[in-house]
Amino acid sequence: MGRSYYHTVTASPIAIDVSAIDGGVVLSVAGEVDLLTADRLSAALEAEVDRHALVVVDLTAVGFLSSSGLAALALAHRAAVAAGHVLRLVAGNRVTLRPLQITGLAEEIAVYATVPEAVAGSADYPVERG
Amino acid sequence: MASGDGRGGRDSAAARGDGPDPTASAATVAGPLECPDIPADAARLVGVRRTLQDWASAAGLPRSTVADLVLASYEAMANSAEHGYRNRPGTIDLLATCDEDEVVVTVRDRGEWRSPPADPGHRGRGLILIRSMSRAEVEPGPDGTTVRMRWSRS
Repeated sequence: MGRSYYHTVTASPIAIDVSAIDGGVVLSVAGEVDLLTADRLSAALEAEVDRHALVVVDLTAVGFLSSSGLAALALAHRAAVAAGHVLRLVAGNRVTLRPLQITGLAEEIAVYATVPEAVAGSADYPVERG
Repeated sequence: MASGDGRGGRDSAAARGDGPDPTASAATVAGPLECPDIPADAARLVGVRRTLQDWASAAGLPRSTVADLVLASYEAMANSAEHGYRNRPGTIDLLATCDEDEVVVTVRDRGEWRSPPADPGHRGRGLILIRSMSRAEVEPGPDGTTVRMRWSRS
């Protein structure tokens, strides 16, 4: 085997912003969710699903979503359900939607194309207030 | 092509369309990408992922194939880094080759294969992604695990 040059960057970009909506929060994630950054997503989610009846996780600006990120979302969804809260995803791009669909997570967690649709929800996923 | 603009913009752009990268010729047959002895840690895999993305884009693959190749290959490497070596130091060999018909990515480690648990944590999901996004062969052995993933060029 020869030896090719490869990038030596050792950090993945990620930014997580939280904004209040009526009855909950929108957690907007931008960047790459991988082995390095999934813990930060997990920590942010854990704090929000405990406190808010509705947490919308907007993955629109996520350019890479690996299984470690899927695990963070699955755990947060479980915690939300246990607390009687609701977690919804916004995944309009193939790069996030495809991993969610392939692994069956899109059947466990409600996935919407846009934030307004996720905030509005549907009859299948009524928002618990309280 | 900039690598890592801080917001994942390049991947997001790739996700929008399914045509080949306009900067690459569709007839391109890229030379092999050979990365032996990559330290098996999560930080190092970021750069390898970017390099694979550049390589696959330069090979003129459809954007959906580039995205699948990058994610499946990353999952194979992450599996080695996380579980093959059980947090002990180790290395991964990555080989990506391309001819007129297909692209093959091989990820090899020298660690121990561990079957995923019945409850799919992200290890289980990683293998599901690999097998769904590629034609994959997983060869566990006493001296390490080889994951070979193939994609048609068209």
